[in-house]
Amino acid sequence: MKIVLEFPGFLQAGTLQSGESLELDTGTTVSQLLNSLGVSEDHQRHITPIINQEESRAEIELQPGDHLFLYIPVGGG
Amino acid sequence: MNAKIRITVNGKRRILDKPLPVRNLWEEQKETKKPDIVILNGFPLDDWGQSFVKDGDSIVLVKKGQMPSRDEFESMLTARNSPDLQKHFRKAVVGIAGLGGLGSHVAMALARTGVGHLVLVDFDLVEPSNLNRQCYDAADIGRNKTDALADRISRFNPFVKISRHQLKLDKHNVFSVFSECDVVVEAFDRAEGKEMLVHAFGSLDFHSKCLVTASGLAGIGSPNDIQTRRLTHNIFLCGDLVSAAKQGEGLMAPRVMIAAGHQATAVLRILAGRE
Repeated sequence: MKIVLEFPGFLQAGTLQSGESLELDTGTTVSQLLNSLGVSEDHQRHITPIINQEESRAEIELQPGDHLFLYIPVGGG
Repeated sequence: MNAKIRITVNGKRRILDKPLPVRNLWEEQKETKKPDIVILNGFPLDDWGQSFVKDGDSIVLVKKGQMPSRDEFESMLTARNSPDLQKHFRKAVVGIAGLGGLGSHVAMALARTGVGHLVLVDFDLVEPSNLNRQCYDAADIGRNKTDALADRISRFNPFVKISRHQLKLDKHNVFSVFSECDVVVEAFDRAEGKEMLVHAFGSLDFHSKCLVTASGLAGIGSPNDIQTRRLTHNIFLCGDLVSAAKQGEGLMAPRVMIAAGHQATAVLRILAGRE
């Protein structure tokens, strides 16, 4: 299945660019995706997955056509 | 029969039956004292004792250093913003979580625009290191930010209702502090606080309220990288998403103020029903 993934530029996600679509196995969870992309534990703790503009959780299974945005707040104000 | 003459005086519309000298505009209203300056259609009028108003004129009668009445001020805001927008802004309640670089400028912008009620929240005092980007001056150093900012706002808009909470927001008190608000602005410095508010607004308790959060505004990167995007049905995110405050990437007034401008604009768009 295909999904679209967006993430802030400081996040290291292998060779993947933010906004690209990627092919995943059916039933892949957000957490499994982040592990497969090599996203560090430290970053994963602060990631809020936003799926199709709804706040979600890392253990949720992604669905075909999902848009996943990885929200990570950065300090400063 | 003479046509009616339609003018505005200090933001209020008036209809005259015949041309009048400008001085009659205040002489016929007992409550209006003789002005120090008369501004006609945007320009100060030198011979206002002799001039006559004509159809379509906009006249502002100014007493130097004197705040207009509530009625006059509201009329001017309505004229500037349009009646349709101002009715939304006037009845709105907006919370601001954190009164630093972002929050102090967002509060100023919303108060100037005419938002009716602001809920200001910060536990902190004004420090010398805040002066590089926050809306305070040396006389405010050592004061509570809530008090210093409320005083500052009252000097240009004494009619906005301000609720002050000098406390540290957490996941327990956030719901009661902002219970009255239509929209809340997240203006914290630390990432943990931003995360806490995003989760609060993702919960059912705040499902019908909006949050405008900010992330990525430090340094001197391109101002055009700072954008507003919708994260969820009720959460909006302003910033470049990347530029965290850290050693060598400090928080500087221009980009902080740009992000604050994005946040204030997002609030107004939400209140106006355009988001």
